[in-house]
Amino acid sequence: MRLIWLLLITTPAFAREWTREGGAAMKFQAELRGIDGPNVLLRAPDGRTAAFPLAQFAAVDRDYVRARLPGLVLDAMTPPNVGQKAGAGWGRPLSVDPADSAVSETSDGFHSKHFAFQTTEKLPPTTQRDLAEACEVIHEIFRVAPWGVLATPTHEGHFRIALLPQGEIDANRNVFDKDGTLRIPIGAAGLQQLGGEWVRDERPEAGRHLKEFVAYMLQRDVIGLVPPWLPDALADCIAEIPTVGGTAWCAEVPAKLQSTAKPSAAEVEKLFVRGEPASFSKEHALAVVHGFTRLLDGRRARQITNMLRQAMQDRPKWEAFEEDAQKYDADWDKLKKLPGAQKLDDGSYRFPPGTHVPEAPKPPHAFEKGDDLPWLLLPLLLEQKTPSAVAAEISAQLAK
Amino acid sequence: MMKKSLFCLLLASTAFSAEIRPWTDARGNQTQAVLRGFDGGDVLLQNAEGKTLRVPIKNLSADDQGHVVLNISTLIDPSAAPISSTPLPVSVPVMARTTWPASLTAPDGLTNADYVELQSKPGRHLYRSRRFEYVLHAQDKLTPAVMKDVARVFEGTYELLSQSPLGVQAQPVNGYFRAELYQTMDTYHAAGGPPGSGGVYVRDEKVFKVPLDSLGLKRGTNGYTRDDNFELKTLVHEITHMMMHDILPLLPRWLIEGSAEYVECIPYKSGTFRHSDLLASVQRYNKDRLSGRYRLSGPPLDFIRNIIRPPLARKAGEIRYDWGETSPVPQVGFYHSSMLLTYYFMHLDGDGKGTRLLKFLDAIRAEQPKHTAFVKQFEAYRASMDEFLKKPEVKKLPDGRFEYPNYLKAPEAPQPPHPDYLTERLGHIHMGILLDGRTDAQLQQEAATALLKLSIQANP
Repeated sequence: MRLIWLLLITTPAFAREWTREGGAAMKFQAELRGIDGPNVLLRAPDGRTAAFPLAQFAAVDRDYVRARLPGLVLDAMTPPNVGQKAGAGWGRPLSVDPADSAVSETSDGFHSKHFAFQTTEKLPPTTQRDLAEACEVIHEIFRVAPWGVLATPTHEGHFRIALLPQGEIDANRNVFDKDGTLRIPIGAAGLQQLGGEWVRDERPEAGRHLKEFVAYMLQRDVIGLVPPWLPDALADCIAEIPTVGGTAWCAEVPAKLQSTAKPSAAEVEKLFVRGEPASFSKEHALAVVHGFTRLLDGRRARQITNMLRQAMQDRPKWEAFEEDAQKYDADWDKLKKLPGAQKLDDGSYRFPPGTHVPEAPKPPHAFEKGDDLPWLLLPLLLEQKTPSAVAAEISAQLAK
Repeated sequence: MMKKSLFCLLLASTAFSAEIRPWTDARGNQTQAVLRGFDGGDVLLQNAEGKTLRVPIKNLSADDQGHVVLNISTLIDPSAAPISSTPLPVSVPVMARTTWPASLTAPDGLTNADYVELQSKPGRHLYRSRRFEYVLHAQDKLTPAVMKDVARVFEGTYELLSQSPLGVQAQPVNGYFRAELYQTMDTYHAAGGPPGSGGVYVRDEKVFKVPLDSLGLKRGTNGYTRDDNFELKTLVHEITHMMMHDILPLLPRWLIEGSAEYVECIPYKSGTFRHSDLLASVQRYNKDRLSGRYRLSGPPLDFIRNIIRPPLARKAGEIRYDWGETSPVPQVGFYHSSMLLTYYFMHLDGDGKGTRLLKFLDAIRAEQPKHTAFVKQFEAYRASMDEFLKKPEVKKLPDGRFEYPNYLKAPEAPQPPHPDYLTERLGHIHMGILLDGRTDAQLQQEAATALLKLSIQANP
C-alpha cells in the first residue's frame, strides 16, 4: 500500500505549456482546472486562475483538454465500486483496486497483479502504472461479468504482454505467441513518445487497441469452443466500454452501435448458422453480443454465461481428450504392426486372442469433425429455441 | 434588423446541446439542469432559468458522477476551429418558458454589472461581460458607470428572453455575443450601418452594431458619459433579434419585428424589466403612434390582414422583396402593426395564454435543425456548382442556361424539406398553427375586437 500512497501524493499538479493563438497570442505555463461552457479554466504556477475561450488555443491544447477532462473529474471523486463481488454483473460502474495496478520491476520489465509486461524500453513509473491500470480494468470487467475471466494465466500467475519497439513488427505474425504472450507494438498500447519519454496518450481513442487485445487474451480458453464470431465480438464489445483510468462504465450502450443500423432478425440468424468463417459482419456480431450481455437477461446474461462457463469447464476435458486421443492413435499404430494383425476388407482389424485393444477415449461432447467444436455449445446460447426465434427476440430488443 | 444577400445563409454551428436531465445530490434533492462544466472539484450545471449551479462532485449521486465523467469531454467539440472561423458550439440548450416573469431584476451575476476591460487604446476599447463582448470604436472609453449600464441592458435582455416564451436561440461566436459601438454616425455607416437606423443586427456577421449617438452619450473628461437623451432602451430591440438568431429565417417578418418591439415595450429601469406593467406601456405606445409624427402612417389594425399574408412567390431574377419598398404598409406602421399582433398572440388569442403562439414557436424550433442542415447542403451545392461552371467545357448560353458535354455531370441541387424553403415564404410555412383554421379576415376581426377591449384602438 505504501507504494500507491507515494504515487498518489507525488503525482505533480500537471502544469504544461499552452499556446494561445487568438486574441493576444502567447505561450504560458498553466495547469488545467476545468471548463465552463466554451471557456477553459487554467491555474498559473503562481496560483492565479483565469478563464479563456478554448477556441483561442492551439489544436493540441484543445485535444489535451478534451482528453484530460474525464480524468480530472475522476480524480476529484471516489472511484465507484472498488472490488465488487466476482460475477456481480455489469449493472454498475466498476473500479480497479489501486493496489492491483501497483507495479514492481522485474528483470525484463515489470508486473502488476494480473499482468506481466516485457519490454526493453525504459518506461517511467507513472507510465508503467497507467499501462497496468489500462489492462487491470479489462481484467476487472471480466471478473465482475457473470461469466468471469475466460483464461488461465500463462506466466507464473500472470498474463504476459510483450511491448515491441515500433520497428519490430511482423504484420503476418499472430499477435499471440504459442505460449499465450500478447505481442503488441508499444505505440499501439496507448502510449506516445513525448520529449523522449513514453507516456500515456491521453486521447480517448488511443488505448482502444490495447483494450481489445487484452479482452481477447482474457478469453483464450474458450476460443475454438464457441462460435468463431463470439470472441472477436466480445473483445470489440469490451473495448467499447468507456473507461477512464481504472474505472469502467459497463452498462453503457457501445458507441459504435449508436451510429450503425440495427441488424434485422435474418441478419442475426446468420450468426447462429454454421457457415464460412468470414461470412459474418463485425457490426452485427457486436450488436448480438450487446444483446446477449445486456438486453436479453439483464445483468445476469444467462444464455451467454451458460455457454461461456460450459466452454471454460470443457477446456481441460478437451485437452485431456486430445492427449488421450493421441495416445490411442499411437497405440493403434503399434497394434496394427503386431505380427498377428490382419486387415479385413471392411477396414477393421483382427488381432490374435488375448491382445489388449485400447478403448477409444470419450470426448466431452459428441462430435464428428474437428470443425464442429465451436458449434457444439450453440444450444446453450439458444436454449432450445430455434435460431430464428432467438434472432427475432434479439433484433426486437436491439430495435428498442 | 437589416437583411442582406439573396439567400440568408446563416451557418449556425452544429449546435451541440447537452441534455437537460435530473441531478440528485447527497440529500436526495433533485434539480433539472444541463452539464455546463467542471472546475476544481465542482460540477457546473445550468438550470432552465440560466442560473449556474456549482456542486462538489462528491455530493452528486453515483449515476450523476458517472454522467459527468463520461460526458464532460463532449462539451468540447474537437473540430472547433480557432478563433473567428466557426462559432464554438456551447452546451446551452434552447431556453424558453411558457410565461413571462412579472419582474426581472439584476439577473445572475449582474448585481454589480460585472464587466471587464480587456484592452484599451485610443480608437479601440474592448470590454466583456458574462455573455457579451463589446468593441468600442472611439477615441475615448466609456465611463465605468455607462459601461455598467450598457452591460446590464445586454445581459438583462438575455436573461429576460431566456425566461420567456420567445427564448434564446443563438450560439455565441467563440464564447461571446458581439456588439460593436461606434463613436460617430459616419463610422457607423462606414461599418455598414444602414442610413436612418439607430442600430442594426447584422445577421450574416452575427454582430450588433450601434452608434453612440443613438444611446444619448456625450464626450466628457473621463470618457463617454450620459447626456440628457441617455436611453439604452433602443438596444433591447436589436438584442432581441440577436438572441433569436437561429430561428429568424423561419419566422414571418411581422413576428421578427413584432417580438423585438414587444420586448422593447416592456418597461425597464436600471436593471429591472417589469413585464407586469406591459399593458399600460402598450396602450401608451399605441396612443403615441396614432398621434404626432407617426399619424400619417395610418391606423395600424387595418393592416393586420396585410402583414400576415405571405409574400407572393417570385419568379427567378425578380428583385428582392422588402416591406419597406414594396409593401403598402409604411415601415413604422409595419412595426406598429406587428407589435400589436404579437401582443395579441401572446396574451389575447384563444385561451389568453398564447397557446397557439407557443405551439408555433415549438414547431419553428423543431424545424430549425432541418433548416440548418439544408442550408449547409445548399452551400455545398452552390460551391460545387461554381466549380462546375468554371470548367472550360461549360458554356453559358444567352438565355442564361448552360450547355455542357454529356460526359460531365452537373451537381445536383439538394431537395428542400419544404417547397417554400428557398423562397421568401419560408417564414410562413407554419402559419397554419397560428391561424388554426381562421381566415385572415376572421383573425383581423378577432384581433381588433380583443385589442379594442383593452382600449387599444384603431381609427381614433
